[in-house]
Amino acid sequence: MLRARVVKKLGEFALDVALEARGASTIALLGESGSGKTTLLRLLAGLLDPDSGRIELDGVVWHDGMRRLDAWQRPVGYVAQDYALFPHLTVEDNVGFGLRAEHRPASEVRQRVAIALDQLGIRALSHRRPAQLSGGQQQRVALARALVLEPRLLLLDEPLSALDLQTRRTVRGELHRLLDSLSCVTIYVTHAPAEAFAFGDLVAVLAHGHIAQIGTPDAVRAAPASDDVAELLGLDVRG
Amino acid sequence: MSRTRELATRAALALGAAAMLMLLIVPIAALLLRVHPGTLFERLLEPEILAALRLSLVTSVSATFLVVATGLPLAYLLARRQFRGKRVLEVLVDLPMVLPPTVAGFALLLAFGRAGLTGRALEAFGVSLPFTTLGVIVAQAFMSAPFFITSARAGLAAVDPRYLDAAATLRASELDTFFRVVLPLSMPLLVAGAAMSGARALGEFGATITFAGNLPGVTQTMPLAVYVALQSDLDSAIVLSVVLLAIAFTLLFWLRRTAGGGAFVAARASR
Repeated sequence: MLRARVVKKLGEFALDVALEARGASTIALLGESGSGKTTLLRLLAGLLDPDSGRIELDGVVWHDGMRRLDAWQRPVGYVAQDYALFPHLTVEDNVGFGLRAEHRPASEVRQRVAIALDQLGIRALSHRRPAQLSGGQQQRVALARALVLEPRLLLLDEPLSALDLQTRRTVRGELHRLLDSLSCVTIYVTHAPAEAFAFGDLVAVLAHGHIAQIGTPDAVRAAPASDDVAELLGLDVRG
Repeated sequence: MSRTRELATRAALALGAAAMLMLLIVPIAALLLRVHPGTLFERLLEPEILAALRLSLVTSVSATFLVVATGLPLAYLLARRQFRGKRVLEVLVDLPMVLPPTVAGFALLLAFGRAGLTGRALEAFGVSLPFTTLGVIVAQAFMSAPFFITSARAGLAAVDPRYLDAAATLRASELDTFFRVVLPLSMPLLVAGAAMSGARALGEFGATITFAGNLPGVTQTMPLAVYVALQSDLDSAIVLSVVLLAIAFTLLFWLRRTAGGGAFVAARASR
């Protein structure tokens, strides 16, 4: 179970968000660019420190006034918008990077990397470097790299936005099946309402650093909390 | 009218460039024209010249290792941390590049000489630097360090922060990230800096002669041997100079050829 309340001021922008999610669920975080989506993910991942607040997962405190776990100490899987694959490493070494950082035995690394590559259907790309991959392939490598560590919290930052329309259609189905098979909390950041409704067990609408509405996709779609939310969801606000 | 102006601009450019090229090329040509290939190899095998060559290679390679081992942590701090007094530290690091080498040698004497600031303490540990081969290495390291640190710092700072964030979310500590991400991605500039530093160490004269003296086989490196030979044996001076020139040219040419290796670092600019 994820419980987070974070407050962060960055210049003129202020983020103040409270989130709660049970295991094996996906929160789709929907918002326009500049609404604070990526900042929230970075705060949860430990790449940025909140000014105040508390982050707790499965009873373990990651951040509060007294305690702070560094990013590398948090069981997080983070897939950045542009994937950030290490350009000097092959696909295999990218996927095995985290396991090696955890000092796992070489045989375990090999085995778990092979399973992750098979799961994402990229075994044939093992020895290629990121520059030799298409956008869709890079996305799969980034997912494999995050999932091989069996994270308790998976953070996906606009995972489909860097893909062309055709690849996006193919990948979307695969990603859906993958997320359904996971047993961790997933936060799926997007600016596209269709993606939020398709992927989220809950949809949280983020506007100007605050959650304007949170609920099941049906509930949010049926009763947007405000005209702004309705507009963001692409719904007709005239009636 | 504009055609005339264009021609005049071209002529001025060509004249300026030609004058500078003359300044750079004529002395080197003059040196090479004095060499007789037959005597070059013959003289090269003479014991004094071989001793100077061996000493120069040993000391400049040792100085480069010393500079890389101690300069890398400093370059990392300058590239990745913000702290009070950073500007002053940056100037201090660059200082040997513009300091007259004899002043540097004098300062080294005052610092590590027998009557110097730390001379007694060093002697208590059985270490004596002035007029020793170790002293040559220290003088070369002092003078060549800025070349490595400046290049290394640029390389380390240019590693895209996205990769550091990715490493952090993949359970890698800062030390892990340094060895597995930062170091390989900045390697082209680290190698370039080490090569420049090595070339500078090889050519070091003023600080070495002031701090370590000019003892054949002990502190007389090739530049010092050239200086001595100029007064008595011009042929030896020419041979030593040509060898120094060949090493410097090869290093710089190799650096130019491998400059494209900075692609990973440059990738940041394409974001």
